[in-house]
Amino acid sequence: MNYRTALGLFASLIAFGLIGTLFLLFKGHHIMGTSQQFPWGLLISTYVFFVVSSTGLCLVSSIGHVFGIEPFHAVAKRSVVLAIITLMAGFLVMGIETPQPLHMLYMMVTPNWTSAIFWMGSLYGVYLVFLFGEFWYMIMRENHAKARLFALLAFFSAIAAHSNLGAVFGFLHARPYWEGPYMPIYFILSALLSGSAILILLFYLHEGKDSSSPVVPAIAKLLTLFLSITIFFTIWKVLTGLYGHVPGKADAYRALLTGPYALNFWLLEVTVGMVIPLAVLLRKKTRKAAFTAAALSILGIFFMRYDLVMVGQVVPLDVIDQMPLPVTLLKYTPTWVEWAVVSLGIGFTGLCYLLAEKRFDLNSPASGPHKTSASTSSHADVVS
Amino acid sequence: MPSYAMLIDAAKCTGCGACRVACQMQWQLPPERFYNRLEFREKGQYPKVKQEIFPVQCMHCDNPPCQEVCPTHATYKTADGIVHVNPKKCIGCKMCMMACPYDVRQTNEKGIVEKCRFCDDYIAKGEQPPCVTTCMNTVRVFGDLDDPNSELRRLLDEKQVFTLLPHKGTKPRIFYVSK
Ligand code: SF4
Ligand code: SF4
Repeated sequence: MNYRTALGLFASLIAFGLIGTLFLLFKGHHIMGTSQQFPWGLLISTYVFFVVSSTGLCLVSSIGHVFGIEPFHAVAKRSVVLAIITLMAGFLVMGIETPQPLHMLYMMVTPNWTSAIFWMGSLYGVYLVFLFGEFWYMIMRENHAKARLFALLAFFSAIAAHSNLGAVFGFLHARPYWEGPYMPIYFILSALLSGSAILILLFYLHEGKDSSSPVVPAIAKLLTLFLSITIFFTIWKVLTGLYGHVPGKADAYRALLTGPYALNFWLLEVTVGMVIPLAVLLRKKTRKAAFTAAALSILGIFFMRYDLVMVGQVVPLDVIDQMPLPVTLLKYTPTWVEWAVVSLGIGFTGLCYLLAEKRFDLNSPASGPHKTSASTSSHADVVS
Repeated sequence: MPSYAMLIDAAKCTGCGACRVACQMQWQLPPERFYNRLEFREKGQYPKVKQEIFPVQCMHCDNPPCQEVCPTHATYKTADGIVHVNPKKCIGCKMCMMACPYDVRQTNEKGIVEKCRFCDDYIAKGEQPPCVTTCMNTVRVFGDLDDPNSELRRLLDEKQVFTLLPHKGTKPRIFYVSK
């Protein structure tokens, strides 16, 4: 695909997104598919998808940039640019989802220290500042020492911000599907998974399929590892969820495994998102195989986020402790307006990235002491 | 400073729903929004089945998770025991709706969260909340926990009571008379 076609594609996604956003702003948030009993919908899971991507890019690129592992030096510049853009895309989607965004000012005026949402805003804010610092010193100033310092700060703030995002769910004792320490840990794991998949996609498109650059094969090894760990995590999460038939919790897992979310789970999350990518990676060590695996897992990851947010709400709260049986699950279907905002986020990410690719020099390697030839490879498919 | 609470004798409830409507009138709510509701549960097996009714609304918890999760302190608790939402500070993140185990919070047309407020303006004038006064069977008794002469205090001392979901640790201020 050439540069202009790609620009046109992302611009149309944005145009569709803006129409949906205007509808939302003028008609009100009730035109979303969410309801009083099902308050969080597609925009929340999409926000999670974008910020997970940002954190993942930061964490995976830190392997080279901060910890000095060779083939990963080449990814630092593109990673930081895309990490900033995906984080902004997440904020954009969240800003549109939030009915009273201006009231966020009160998070500074009267902050509530016990609120994970307060920490989410603050920590992602700090993370964004560090990402900008890293970008500034690495790309605009070519000051490697300072860039490395900011990369380190970004790394730690990413871990804090992102595990705290897991805690937004994990702290909810009223919601047995999410409650507990699993969420913060799982969020870090899934960030690593997203980050490696996105970098493979990006560098495959950038370097072309015949390049001899070691970047894609190196990250493909990471993707194999993270996919395997994710499968392991998922198996134990499902087994503990079902075990003992705990009301509320096991009902949610049944909704995921055999209920309304079964197709999402088995087909998109498990088959497309985990099993096929892992099989492809294990069978073939080619760049093309890595690309296919990465593209499929990104699709799967989008639905992992979706299921994570929706299945946590699908069982009505039992306030009397005598749930009438069988449990009637709550329903949620996203409306076109919500899909439009998703399209806005994707279009925004793509367009900003293409512009950044043109505007800044992202080809030269980022790290001073360990120069590598990896990043001086052939010019991008997408940017040619 | 009074310490407000409510006692509900659900066995006396006929299920007419007047409390819900009175509250909707008081706060000018559209039909699909409500601050209190009735939960129906069937007990026993045919032919010995009986229906139980539980009026449910914000419990004005003493350990309110909704307050703990609110990023801006839009949700706050006052010394009189009432849990309020300040609409000027609410961003509409709906985190409190997720954290409340009693499912009593709803968003209004502006996306701001609302719920039962024990009719604070009204009771300040010495009145009783309309859900209490409208009830034909005096199912609800509202009053001051710290006032030894209040009807509420007397009944709480006399009767066996329970709260909903005590294991959630929320320490509700709505008590139910045990059957
Ligand atoms: S019942 Fe729910 S909304 Fe009311 S104080 Fe308790 S947790 Fe908060
Ligand atoms: S929706 Fe409003 S009241 Fe509820 S937690 Fe968010 S800011 Fe606080």
